[in-house]
Parts: sequence; C-alpha cells; structure tokens
Amino acid sequence: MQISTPTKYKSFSFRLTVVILIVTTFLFLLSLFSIGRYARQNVKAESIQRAESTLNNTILRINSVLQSVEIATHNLAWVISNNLDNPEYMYTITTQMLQSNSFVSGSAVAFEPSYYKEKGYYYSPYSYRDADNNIVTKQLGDEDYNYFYMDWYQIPKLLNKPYWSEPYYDTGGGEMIMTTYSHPIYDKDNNLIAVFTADLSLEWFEKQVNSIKPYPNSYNYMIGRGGTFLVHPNTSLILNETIFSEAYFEGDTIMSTMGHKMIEGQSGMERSTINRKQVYTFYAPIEATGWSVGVVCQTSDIFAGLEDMNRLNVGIAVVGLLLLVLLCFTTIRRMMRPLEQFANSANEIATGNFHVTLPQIKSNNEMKMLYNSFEYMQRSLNDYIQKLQFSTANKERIESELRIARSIQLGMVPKVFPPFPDRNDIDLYACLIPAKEVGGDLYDFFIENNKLHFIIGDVSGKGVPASLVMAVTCRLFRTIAVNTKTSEDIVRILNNALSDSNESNMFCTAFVGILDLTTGRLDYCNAGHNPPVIIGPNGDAKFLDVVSNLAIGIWGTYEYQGQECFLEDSSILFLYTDGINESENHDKELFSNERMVQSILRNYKADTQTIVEGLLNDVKDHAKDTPQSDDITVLCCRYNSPLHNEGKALFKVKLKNEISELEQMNAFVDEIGETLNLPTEEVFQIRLAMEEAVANVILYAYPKGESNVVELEAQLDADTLTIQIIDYGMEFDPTEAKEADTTLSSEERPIGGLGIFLIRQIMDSVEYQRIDGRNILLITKKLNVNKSNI
Amino acid sequence: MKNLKYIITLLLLLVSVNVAQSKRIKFTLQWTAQSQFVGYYVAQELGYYKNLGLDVEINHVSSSTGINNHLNDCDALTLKLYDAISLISNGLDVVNILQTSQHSSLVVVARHNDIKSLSDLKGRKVGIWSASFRELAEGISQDKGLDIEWVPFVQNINLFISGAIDATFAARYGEEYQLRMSGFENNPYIYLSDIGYDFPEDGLYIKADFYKKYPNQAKAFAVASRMGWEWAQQHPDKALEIVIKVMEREHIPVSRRYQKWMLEQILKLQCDEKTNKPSFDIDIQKFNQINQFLIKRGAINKPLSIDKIKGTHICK
Repeated sequence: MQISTPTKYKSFSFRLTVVILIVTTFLFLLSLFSIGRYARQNVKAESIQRAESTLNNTILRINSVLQSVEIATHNLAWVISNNLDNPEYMYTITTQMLQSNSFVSGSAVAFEPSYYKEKGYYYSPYSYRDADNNIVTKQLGDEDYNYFYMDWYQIPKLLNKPYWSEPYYDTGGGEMIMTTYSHPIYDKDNNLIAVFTADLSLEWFEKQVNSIKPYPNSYNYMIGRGGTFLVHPNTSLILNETIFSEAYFEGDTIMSTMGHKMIEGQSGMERSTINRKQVYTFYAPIEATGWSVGVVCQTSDIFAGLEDMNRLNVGIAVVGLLLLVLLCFTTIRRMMRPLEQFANSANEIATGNFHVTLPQIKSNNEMKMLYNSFEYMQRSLNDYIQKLQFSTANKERIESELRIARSIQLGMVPKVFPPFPDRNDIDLYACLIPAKEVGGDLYDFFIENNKLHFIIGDVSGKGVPASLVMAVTCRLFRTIAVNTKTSEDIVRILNNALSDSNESNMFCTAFVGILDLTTGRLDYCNAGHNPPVIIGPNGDAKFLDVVSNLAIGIWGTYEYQGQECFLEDSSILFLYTDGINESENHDKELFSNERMVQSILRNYKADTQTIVEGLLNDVKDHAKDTPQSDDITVLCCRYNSPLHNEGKALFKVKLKNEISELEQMNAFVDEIGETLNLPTEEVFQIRLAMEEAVANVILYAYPKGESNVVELEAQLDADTLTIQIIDYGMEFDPTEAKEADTTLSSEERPIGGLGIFLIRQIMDSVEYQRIDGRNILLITKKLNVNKSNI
Repeated sequence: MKNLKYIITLLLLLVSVNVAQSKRIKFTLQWTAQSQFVGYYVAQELGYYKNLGLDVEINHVSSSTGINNHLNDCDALTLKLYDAISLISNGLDVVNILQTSQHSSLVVVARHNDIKSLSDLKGRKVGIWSASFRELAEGISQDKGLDIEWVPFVQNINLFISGAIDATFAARYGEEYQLRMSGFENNPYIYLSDIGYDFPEDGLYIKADFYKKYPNQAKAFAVASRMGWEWAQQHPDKALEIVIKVMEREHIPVSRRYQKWMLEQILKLQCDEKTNKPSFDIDIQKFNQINQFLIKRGAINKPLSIDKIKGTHICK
C-alpha cells in the first residue's frame, strides 16, 4: 500500500514561531505605546518647566536691569528738581546718567515748551553715546524734532507717571531702535516741568531675549503692549508687524488668542502650527514695560530625545523580535526534527520495512517516550508479522488442500451435460454449488436397465466433515443402486451403512429415485429431504407427495417406506436442496418454495439446463450481496415417454375380450414383424409371448360375460420394442404371480403362471402398471433391427 | 474714456510745443510716503508726468511738521477738502485740480467698550492729529456738545495702547489698521461717514499763480495724476510694489500688509457711492455741507464758491 503524502505540510515550527511573534509583537507594541505615552507626558512637563524656567530667568534679568534704570532715573530726577535754576547743569545730569548706567544709551531732560524763556520753545539737554562709545551731548528739541508729541514725552505727561515707551526708531538723537524710560518731574504745584528720560537700546533686549535657547531650533520673540514685534528672528517684522497681523493674515486664531493673553500680561503656553510645524509657545510678561516674551519651540525639538528613544526602542524591539523569531524557529525546528524522522520511519514501517532505524533521542523527554513507543511498536509488529506469516502459510496450505478436495468432490458427481446425449427420453441437468470450498450436498444418477437411478442429498453441517459424509454417501449409492431394485432398499442399505460407523452423528437427508424410462414409473424413497416438484406437461406444478422418513445415518434399523408414481410424458421432476428455497437475502427473507416454483415455471418449456440456470440467477438476484450460506444443489429431469415420442413406429389395435380375437392379435404381431423386418423366429416368439399375455387378459381381466376391450400398442424406441397390453378390468398384476411349476403337467398348473414364465423367457422385461383404472402390462424386447427399415 | 484720450492727445500736442523745456513742479504730499499717495507715485514711476512734459519733484512732510508748514514752499500739494476750503477762504491761493477722495476716512475708536456713540465721549480724552482734522474734530465736538479734552498726537497708537487717551480719531486707511492689529479689533469703531460727516478728503491742489501762468501744465499734471490713480485702481498689486519701492527709497519702515490695507482703503474711499467708481471731482453737495460746517464753526465767514476752489474763475 502506498502512503499518500500531502503536497505540503505547514511547518509546526513556523506556525508556533508566527504565534510567538504575533504575541510578542503585540506586547512590545503595548509596552512601547505605554512607555512612549508616559515618557511624552514627562518630557512635555519637563520641557515646559525647562522653557519656563529659562524664560523666567531671562525676564528676571531684564527686569533687574529695567529696575536699576528706573531707580537711577528716580534718584537723578531729584537732582534735576534741585537744579532747575541751572539749565546747563541738565547736561551734567544726563551725562552722569550714562556714566553710571552702562545699559543706558541716552538720557534727556525734556522741558515743557518755553520753560526757560532764554532757551526758546524747545529745551531738552540730551546725552548719548556716539559710534566710539563716547558720551556726547546736545539740545534735542526743535521744529523738526517736536518732542512734545513723542510718546516718551506725551504719554507719561498724560498718565502722570513714569512710563516705558514702546520701542521706536529715534531720528533725533539715538538713531536707533530704543525704548525710553520717562520720569515726569513736577514743580511744587504739581505742574509738569520736564520729562527725564533714559534710553535703552532694543539691541540689548534682543541679546537678552535671544539668550533663551532651550532647543536647537527654538526661537524667541518679544512683543510690545500692542503686539508689535520688538524682537523677532525675522527682522522685517520688527516694528512693522504685530502678532495680531500675523494671526489675521495667517488665519491663526490660536495665535490671536495667545496675543491677547500676552498683551494682558499673562504667562503660559500654547500649542499651535506655524509654517506647518507643530510648535509650543511659552510666554511670560516683562511687567515693567508691559511687553511679553515668547519662546517658540518645535514639537519635534521638544520630543527629539523622545523620538530618538522611541527609534532606539523600536530598533531594539525589531532586532529582539528577529532574534526571537530566529531562536524560536531554530529551537523548535531542532526539537521537532525527530518528529519528522519518526514520520519517515512510520512510513517506512508502513511499507513493510519493520527494521528501519529510528532516530536517536538522547534527551529524556516526550521525544524519548515517542521513541520507546515506536520501538515497542516495531517489536510488536515484527512478532505479529512472524505469526501472521506462519498462519498465512498454514491457511494457504489448507486452502490449497480444500481446493483439491473441492475438485475431488465435484469430480464425484456427474458434471458432463447432457449426460445421455443419445437418449430422447431423458433431459437431465444438475449442478452443485458448495457454499464453502467443499460442501455436504450431493447428487448422482445413472441409467441401468433403462432405468434412471438418481439421488439428491444434503449432509448435515458444512465444510470438510459434511463433504466426507457426502463422498461416502455418493460412493455407497453407486455401489448399492446398481444391485438394488427399489429405492426403498437403496435407502435402507445406505442408512445401515452410514449408521454403522457414524460416531460423529452426521446424517444426510436424501431423495432416491428409480425412474423407469420405458413406462415413466417412478420408484422413490424420501429420507427427510425436501419434496421434489413435479411440473406437468401443461405447466401444472405440484410438490411430490412424500413420506417423511428419517434422514439417513440416524437410526440404522429404521424401516424406510418407498413410494411410486408415474411421470407423464414431458413432465419435469425437479429436485433441490434447501440452499435454493431457503436462500436468504440481506433482510433475512427466504427465497421460498413459491418463488422457486414460479422461477421453474417461467422456463418450464425450455431445456432443463435453461430452467436450472434461470432459477440459479433468480436465487442470486434474491441474495444479492449476501454471501451464500448453504450449499446449493439442483437436479432437474424432464421425462419424455417413449410411448409418446413422435416420429417412432407405433402400432395399435383394439381387441374384444374374446379368445377369437387372438388371431387379430397374431396379425398385429405379424404386422410389426413385417414392418420391422424381424426374423420369422423372433416374430413367432413374440406371437407366443403375446398369446400368453393377451389370452390371460381376455380370459381373466373382466368378469365373465362382460364384453370389453383389450388394447395393444407397440412402439420401437431405438432397438427396443415395447408392447403395452391395456385393459380396464380389475387390478391384477400378473408379474406377481408365482413362477409356474414347470415340473407339473399343463392341466395341473394354475392358469397364468406358465404364461408369465414364458413371456419372461421370450421377452427382455415384463412390467405391470395400474394407471387411471387401467392395467398396463409392458413387455419389451431388444431387437436386432435395421432402423432404416422403420 | 474717449474724452480722456482726446484731452491727452490735445495736451500732448500742447506740451510738445514746449517739450524742450519741461516744466518743473514741486509737489508736496501731506504725509510721509505711504499708499495714501499711490496714484502720484504711479504717475511718476510710470513716466506719465514726464511724458506730458512735466518734471515733478515729489516731497513728503515729516510726521511731526504737517502740510501747514509747507504751504509756501511748493507748487502743488495735497490737502483735505475741509482744510482746503478753510485755507482758501483764509487767503491760500490754491486751486483743486483733482479730487481723489469722495468719502471721509475718519473713524473714532474707543479704548473702552462703554463708548458706543459720539455722545459717550463727553469729557473724555480723545486723540486727534496735531497736524490735521483738529478743526473738524472740534467742530463735531461742538456740534454734539461733547466738551472733549483733545490730545493732539503725531502717532496715536501708543497713546491709545498705554491708556493715556479714552478714544482717538483714526483714519480708516491708517491708524484703524494699526489699532486692529494691536489687539483692538473688537473695540467700538464709529465711522464719521455713517453719522453725517462724510466729508471728502484728499485732493490735488496747485498754486493759483502756477495755474494762471501754466494752465496747460497744470491740467497735464492733473491728467497724469488721474491716470496714475486709474492705473492703481486697475493694478492694485503692482501699484503696491511701487509704493513699497518709494517707501524704501524714503527709508520708511515697510509693512507690506499695512500698505496693502491702506491701498485698498484709499481706493475704496475714491469711489462714488452711486457709481461705485472714482469721479475725481468734488461732490457739490458735500462741498456745500463742509462750507456750512465751517461757517457754523466760525472758521470762514462765507461759503467758498466751487468756482473759486476749482479755479474756474482763473480760466475765465
């Protein structure tokens, strides 16, 4: 047997590795996500703290400088108030301001219009640093520099308090972008006298603000009270654009909202998008000026470390997973490799190679268990196969012997059909189909003295014992039947013989018959067998009336009762064993006698072989796949009475029961002799025998005085002349009359005795039949005739 | 358009006579360089003046001096109609040769949300340009009896931001933008054009002497200026570039957005509400309304005639 190999196995190691990979990847991802999220929150908090702290430090530094300027201005304002009578001294004061405050780039004392009449409408002593950082002075105000409308002058005047101006480009003195701290000075009546100022270059603020660098790509800006950019990496925005114009033209509502918070002096953080980049803006106010500093940090910068960490983590995870996959795959594959070898070994074993080498397992684990099981299986299979080989050899031997026995058994029964090809009076076909190699059914037949001797039987049990009994029975039948005249005696002798040595209590049902082919008389004895079927020439079927004697071999001294009947011309005698009518199908239904008869009748006009084969086919169809359980034996015989055979010489004459009719009888015989061209002596002998027989009938068949007829019929079948003498008188069998005592004189001898004696001497056989109220005396004589004469 | 071409052709012919000696015009604009004067920059930059035989020298006043200090040192200048009526009535001999503005650009912006109308300005500090509109503002205040404490300014934005004033006058094309872009976009904005003071503003004026002496050049100046304005109307983006170029040349810090806003507003203010197109002429009804306002204010004794301001009498 071939082991079917699937086209492709899904590797166990591959599948397990995939499962491990999926689970591990999921856990890795979960872990990475959790860590990433947690780290992101921490990084965010840390970055906020970091940026805010840097920002606040810077603002503190700015505030401290602004505060120092405010203090210095405040202190010197007192000096101004005390030296109002000396307008020139104001230059000294402003110069002193610059000398003592390095941050201050310029300082002025701007007086109200025409405060000093002699100085004119504008008087504003001003000190500032030139390009070489030398302190120089000048008078600032004139028609082209109307400082009264300058923010640094006008606003503190209106507000009546010191004021840090919004940065502006000063064209009057500083020639740079600056913010001015203005301190109003009042007289005793609280009228404004002058505004004392200190200028701070915006450049200084820019340096301070740009010192904030929490991240590589972060940038800072500073806005004024109205959102105007004072410091910004894009210098074109400085003093030209505001945070609100940026927000307005970019459609950035977040920036607008943040701008409002910034100019309101709030501090905080906003997340927004600038130039399609996510950014965080940290902002805090410079309280002294009302300005606000913003630090813009790109999210990618803030989380750069985190991104690096994430990339590292993902890298480690990927490498780890690859290693895991490799390790899992190789380990599992190594562990599972013996399984594949075991599978190959199993395939080898399945092909009959029981001594295949199993894979070596060194580890003491499940594989070792599998190895032990395989090894045990291998040993057990070896033992089993050896036993099987032995028993198979035995079986084959027995089967061979049984085959021989079968051929011997089948050789014991006639199996050449037609058995009597030269005979027209008998058409016989038989068959025996043992259920096993050999069976217990039997049949046999032969013709002796124009009589068909036959037997059909069924030995109890099956197989070899039954076949032995069958063989014995067959042999005995042959031996016994030849020398025994009646079926009753045949059966009796058979019974005695079988019973004598029947220690195994086997028995045999049998039907034994002797059919007189001349007359159609059937002498039969049934020993517990199925009654045969008789099919009349017109297709009328009936079971033969049988006496249920005991089966043969049971009781040695049993008295069997024989029976007899006459077969009509063209009638069929059908014998069978119970393998036919008791044949079972799958549903345990029997074939039955009825179906058997119907099957026979379907072909009753055909020859016996056709009848039998038709029946066997019907039985086979009935049983279908159900194995044959019993031996099947059939013997079918159609009897063609020679008296009714067409195309044969037939002579008939009807005589009165008068002695004078003997002459006509003689003429009848002469006619036969002439027709058959018989020798005169033979004709004479037949006349003599006929005279004896016919005279006897004329004289004694009918009561005295009754006028009746005697019919004579003659027929030649082959070389045998058969003459029937028929009367309708009372039953009388002359053949049973005692042999005549030939020693007595003719007067002393009783009538008839000598006649029969004479008839038997002349003719070959004398038989008597009583059929349908007729006495029929059949006398035959074998002639030496030339058929061409007929 | 046919008339315009006709005039141009005519003028070209006239000018061609004196092409060898192109007439120099000293032209002073009433503020520093910005989009407010885009038409003149266009006419200069695209050579309209030169093509008509004019050698125009454009000057700007400083933010602190104002146009009033430069009335005598130029041949031509720009003035608000309101100021022009007042100045001409009081002896300034100038002629309006092109009225560019048709509407008032003035808006009162409140620092506090409780100021919803002009009447809410009563007794408050209100910013007003030191150089212009003072008369107008005071007239309105007088009309409404507001008793405002005026705070003159050159730049009002920081005054406003610092809280030194409660409200301020502003120009739609100028300070309004600055205020809106300084976080005051939601404050109350009261437009004078909406409350009965829709006085046209900028116009091109030329000295009467010049006008008498060189009438053709004066007309050519007006035509070339008008062509500049029309070009700016049709090509605002390119006109903006010209403005920026001029501003850079004048070393004035440039905010492109601000100038764009200003350009748009200026061009809008030039359009007649009926035709939605610039007429470049004085609306007689509004002219009379200003006359009445000034008489009531006591700035002039009698209404200035339209002939006088347009120099028709000189031509006659």
